[in-house]
Amino acid sequence: MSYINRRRFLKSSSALGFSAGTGLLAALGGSNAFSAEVNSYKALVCVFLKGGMDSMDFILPKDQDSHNALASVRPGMFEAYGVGSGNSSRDIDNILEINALNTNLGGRKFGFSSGVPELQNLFNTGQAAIVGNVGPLIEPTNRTSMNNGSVQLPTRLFSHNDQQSTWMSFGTEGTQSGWGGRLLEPILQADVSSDPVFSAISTSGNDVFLSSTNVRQFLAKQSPSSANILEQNWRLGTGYSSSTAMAALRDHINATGVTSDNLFGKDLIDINGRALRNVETFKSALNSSVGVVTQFPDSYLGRQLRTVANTISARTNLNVRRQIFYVSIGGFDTHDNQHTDMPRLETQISTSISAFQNAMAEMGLSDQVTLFTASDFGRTAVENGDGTDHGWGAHHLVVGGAVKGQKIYGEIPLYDRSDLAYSGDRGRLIPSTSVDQYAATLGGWFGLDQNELNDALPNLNNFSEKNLGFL
Amino acid sequence: MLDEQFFNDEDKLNTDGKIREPVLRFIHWARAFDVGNVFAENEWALLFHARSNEGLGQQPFQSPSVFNFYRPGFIAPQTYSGNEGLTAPELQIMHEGSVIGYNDWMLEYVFNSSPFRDPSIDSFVPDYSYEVTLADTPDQLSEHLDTLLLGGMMKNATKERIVTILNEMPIRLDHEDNTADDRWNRVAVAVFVAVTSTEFSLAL
Repeated sequence: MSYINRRRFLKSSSALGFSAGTGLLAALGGSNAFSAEVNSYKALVCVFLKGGMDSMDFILPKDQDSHNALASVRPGMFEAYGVGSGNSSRDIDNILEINALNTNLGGRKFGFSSGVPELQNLFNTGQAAIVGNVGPLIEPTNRTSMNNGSVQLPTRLFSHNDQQSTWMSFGTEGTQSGWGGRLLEPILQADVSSDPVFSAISTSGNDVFLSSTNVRQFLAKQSPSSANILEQNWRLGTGYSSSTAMAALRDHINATGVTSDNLFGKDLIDINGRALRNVETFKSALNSSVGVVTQFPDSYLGRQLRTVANTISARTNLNVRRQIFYVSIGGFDTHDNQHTDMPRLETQISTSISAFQNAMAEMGLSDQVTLFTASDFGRTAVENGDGTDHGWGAHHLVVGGAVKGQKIYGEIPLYDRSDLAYSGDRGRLIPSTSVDQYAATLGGWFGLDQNELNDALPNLNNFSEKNLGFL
Repeated sequence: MLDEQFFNDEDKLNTDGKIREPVLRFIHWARAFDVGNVFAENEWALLFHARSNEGLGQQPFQSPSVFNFYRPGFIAPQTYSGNEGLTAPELQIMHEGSVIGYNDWMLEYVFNSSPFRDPSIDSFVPDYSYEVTLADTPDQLSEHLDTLLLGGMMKNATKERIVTILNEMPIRLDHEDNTADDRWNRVAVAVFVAVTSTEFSLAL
């Protein structure tokens, strides 16, 4: 631990050094960087739905007027879904109603398709909430201000890679710091005894969400293992008992003593140099933890969320009190065949998230772990015949015992593309809630104070409502 | 390829080169040792575990999205290259997990021990017949692998490790089968070290 303390000390003293030019009072004021609340264990889990999930085909209309309105902009898809047959997952009678406590819905009712009873149950039992029409914004935006150019808009809207990056990091592809990482910065400053390596954990690659100046994500494996060669000395045949040979192999895997002046060479040496230590620590922590017995569906998302649950089970051994997880699944770019792809995907989401909640309950951590969804963008209200195209705002789920559930936050606009909620004829929703606000609500619960949230979320100050109230 | 500087050393310019993605390294090994019986359908790992971050980290022809395995604009956070603003797309799929995953993957293939779907068929068989003639002289074997796999850019630390490890693996002379086994084993260990060296992941 002492090296962490030393590192923190050096970092904070250099921060003081930098701010000396702006006066000692400012420097002392900057000490709020240590005020994040880090007492009990808490975790955030980001489920990123890659490709741009059509949330209008996920949070479905249950009242007849809205159902008719959606049918009128999506006749081809409704036909493909077999709506009207009585057997369709989207038939109004088959839609599983959610009993929102909202008083502001007028006569509108909502539900999930008949394929996702688990999510209906989570919502109706107060363990899940919906946040309507969220998306990247620089400042509050409506169709008028968008069309007359009086507002700043995020760049490269409707582009997958850039909007994935923008959702995660407020910048287009190539941005190096995401808000998952940025939320962890003040946490790690305030909690010097936790291991920063295992505070940011991905089960799905190196996306920018969990990166920032001092945060680097660790990739958790489903079955933690170390470098096999070091556990298979029989590979050395007649040299199997040689400690000299095994030590040399360990040094090799660690790239000990290997140097390079080339920047990419340095990066490779750096990755190899920390891989073994981190992988071995992770393995030993998980192997000495009980794990969860809850059954997860054997789907791509289910396996990742099981890994998250098992990692949370090892939180004490991993020496962490705050963790942010990143999991992702693809397949949501449903330009065509939406009626066959979407039911498969929504079932995977529903069964996996439900299992995850059961696993948290099993560990008694329901109130301490909050899961939320994110996606490149929503999709057009107006179909293309067989699917939907790239949009902007989308409805998302937040799930967990701490969630003030059974409620719809934000807005779910009517399916009327003449409505000012939409940017134009294709029915792309202009977000009415920004990613900054969504992130600030999650981050506030996670332990950050308002100054720290403003530091982490660049556009938050442009929005008056800084906490959406779902936590 | 005729440019002398190309072969000089890796350090000619700090920002030169790029990272080689895992599947290229795997194929490089397979071609260098003229792998026989390339019967992918028999390879459990190739069919089912290549995409996993715990394996190769990259399933040929099965990228996770239409945008392939990594993005051209990716700049790796908290890296030497990223600090210089250099894009490093391949680093998007390289991290602690996939580095160890690649090592474990190559261990099975280099030792010809990858699990088969039909155990009666030995697929992806490397030909080390020339290399075993150098097994008694680890320094010559490491020089040969440097030329064959790394175009002369193997680090001295890597060469020395190959020699150190191989010298700890006695070659039995009591029976010709044992002698052949021990030589082959030396070659496999040396090849494993070469293809899992950091320099093997660098293209200059």
